[in-house]
Amino acid sequence: MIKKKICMLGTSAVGKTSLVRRYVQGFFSEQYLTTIGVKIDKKTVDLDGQALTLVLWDLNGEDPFQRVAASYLRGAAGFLLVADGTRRLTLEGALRLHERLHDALEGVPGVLVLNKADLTASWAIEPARIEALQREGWTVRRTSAKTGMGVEEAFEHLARRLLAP
Amino acid sequence: MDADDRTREAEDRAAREAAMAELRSLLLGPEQQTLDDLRRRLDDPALRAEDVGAVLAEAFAIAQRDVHLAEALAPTVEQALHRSVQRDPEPVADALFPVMGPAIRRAITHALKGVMQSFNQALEHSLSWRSLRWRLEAWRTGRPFAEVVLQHTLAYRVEQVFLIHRETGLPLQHVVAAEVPTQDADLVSGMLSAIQRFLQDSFRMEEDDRLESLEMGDLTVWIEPGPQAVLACVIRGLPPSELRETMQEIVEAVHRQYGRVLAGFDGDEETMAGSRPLLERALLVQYTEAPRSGRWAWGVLLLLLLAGAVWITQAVRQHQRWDAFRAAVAAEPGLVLLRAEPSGRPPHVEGLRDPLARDPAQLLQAAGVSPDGVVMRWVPFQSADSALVLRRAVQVLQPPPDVTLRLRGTTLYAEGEAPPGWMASARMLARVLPGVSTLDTTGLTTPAERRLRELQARIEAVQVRFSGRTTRLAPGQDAVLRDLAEALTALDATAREAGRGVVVTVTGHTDATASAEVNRQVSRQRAERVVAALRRAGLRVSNTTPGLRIEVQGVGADHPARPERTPDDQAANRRVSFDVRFSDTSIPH
Ligand SMILES: Nc1nc2c(ncn2[C@@H]2O[C@H](COP(=O)(O)OP(=O)(O)OP(=O)(O)O)[C@@H](O)[C@H]2O)c(=O)[nH]1
Ligand SMILES: [Mg+2]
Repeated sequence: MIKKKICMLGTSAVGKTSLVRRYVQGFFSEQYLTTIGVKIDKKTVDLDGQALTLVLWDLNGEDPFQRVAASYLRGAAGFLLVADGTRRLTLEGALRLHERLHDALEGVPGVLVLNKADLTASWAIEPARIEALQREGWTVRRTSAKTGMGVEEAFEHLARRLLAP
Repeated sequence: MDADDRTREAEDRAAREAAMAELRSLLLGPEQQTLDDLRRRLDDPALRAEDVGAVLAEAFAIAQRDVHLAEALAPTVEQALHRSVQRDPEPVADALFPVMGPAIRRAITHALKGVMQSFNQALEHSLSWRSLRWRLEAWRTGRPFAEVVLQHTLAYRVEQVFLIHRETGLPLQHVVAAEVPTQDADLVSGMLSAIQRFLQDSFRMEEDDRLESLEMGDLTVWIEPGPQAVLACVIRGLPPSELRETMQEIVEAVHRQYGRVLAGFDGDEETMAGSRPLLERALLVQYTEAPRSGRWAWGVLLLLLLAGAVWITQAVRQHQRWDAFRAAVAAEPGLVLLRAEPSGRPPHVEGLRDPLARDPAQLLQAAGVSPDGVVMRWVPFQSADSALVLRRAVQVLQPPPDVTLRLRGTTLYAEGEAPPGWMASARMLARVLPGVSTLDTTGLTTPAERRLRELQARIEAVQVRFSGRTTRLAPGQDAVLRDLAEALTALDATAREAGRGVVVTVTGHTDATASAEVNRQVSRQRAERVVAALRRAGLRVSNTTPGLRIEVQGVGADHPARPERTPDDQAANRRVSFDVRFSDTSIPH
């Protein structure tokens, strides 16, 4: 069995925890998130007969001291960079965060997730912006932790990239 | 270009070649020869092999310092081994044998020890007073009994060992003590390394400042870091410091053996599968009361063995007893065993039984099996066995005490003394007795006949003597004659009573001194004298049949009592003798 560490990144309240909760069967209480800033979950996916276990590190959004522990990212094989699609600022925050963690994330595959896609009325990210991001090399996925839309696909897409040479 | 040009060009080239060769030989001199040699060597595979062979050992020695040689050789060696085993497994088996034996023995000892230990604990926990107390405590506090026992008896137990990849926090390997609920190694490993990082971040510790121990209730987590992998032991109770040393050794061994795998770890736990035995070394356990090396258990085991031995002996003995019973039944006339089920519930016996046969329950008892609880079903039948036929004859004929019955073939012999009435009825009853064709009563007498025989013997024993060669009775014969008269009178009465005719012949004898004619006369006179004297002595004879008749005869010296050599012999031959004959021949002589 192959196992990979995946990190959930993004600013506060964008839905990282919700996405993980939607994706996996929980094990640890979410208490851990507030005490040590991270919660571990896992999910085993089957990719065309090849089993792969994703060990998901759900990190707290940026804390008041603007300090995301780069040490938590060490050894990550992939990451989900999550933004709230109804708040444009969270996308910029996510990208800034990614920039700041450049050293730790160099060469690590990731997927940019625009969450809360169920809130279509207040959707704030224009298609042009998404296209631009894709041109920059981002894989962008729209998800809703509330309805489950796109969640499995986002994780599975990342999983495939981890196995591809 | 014409032909001449071409020729010239070729000549030029040849000249240049020659010049070059000369230049080379000038420049290189003797080396040229060496170079040529070398080229030849390189071109010749046989020579090349020889050269490589000469340095192979040394080359291996040098290359060994690097693991690459081992890696490069591994597939070839594996293949060679595989082929060798396929062709003939024996050489490899022989080579492995010295290793396998001890390994297997150790494994068995280990397993046995484990079994005895848990057996011992189970015993202690189920039998002792203390365990009752603990059961009470468990009941009172609502905790599981196992937990209470553990709390009282466990010094410490390493319940889980995690080997965690330091970089990714992924589990490399995870072992769990028996009967410990397992946790998800992926999540625990992740959390442990997250905690590690949280502490480092929060307290701005150096990379080398590591968390070494976590405590939660009676669980302790000891962490032993290595450059690439971290060993974490989840311990219940208070671990001793030696555990730390064991952990360090394991971490070192892991890095020694799996350094390269760890460096290139890509999340595939298979690559670390071989490290399990290493980790298992940390699964230590210690009880506050040492399991006393299983003395309890050995004791009970011994008892069990003893009980087993006793049970087997009992079973064997019981088996033998039943065999004895079967043999006894087979030997017993009038019993036929059809089925004996000693191990039935209840044990039961079925067969045929002549009502006159011995009680089979007695036989069972005699064989040593208590008949209580054994169900017996005996179907009655009449046995043709001679013993039973005889027994039946005795039962039916009821012979008087002096009569014995014997069976030979189908003839029943009655012997002894019986009243005539019994004899008559016995003859009739014998005809309807199964297994008896005839009753032979020739061996039977009646009381009267016995009396007749007694009187006969008494009478025939008497010799009457005479004075000298006269026909006068010798003095002192009165008593003899009185006795004789009485016997003859009784004989007469008994004969009449028994319906028998009796002839008593009174015979007179002489010695051989006189002539035969004289002797005959004298002897006859002697007999007549005796009869007359008997009558005087009170003899009365009926002279009827049945009854006694007396005949008188004189035989002279024809039947001497003994040969005559002395005057004493002659005197003994001068006598009168008595002969008793019954007219019915059924009385045997
Ligand atoms: N409508 C809608 N609400 C969502 C969705 N995902 C998350 N939310 C809500 O957004 C809020 C924040 O979600 P979390 O999952 O806690 O966000 P987070 O990124 O883990 O936040 P931090 O842990 O603080 O960084 C919660 O109230 C969620 O119910 C979504 O897809 N749609
Ligand atoms: Mg969260």
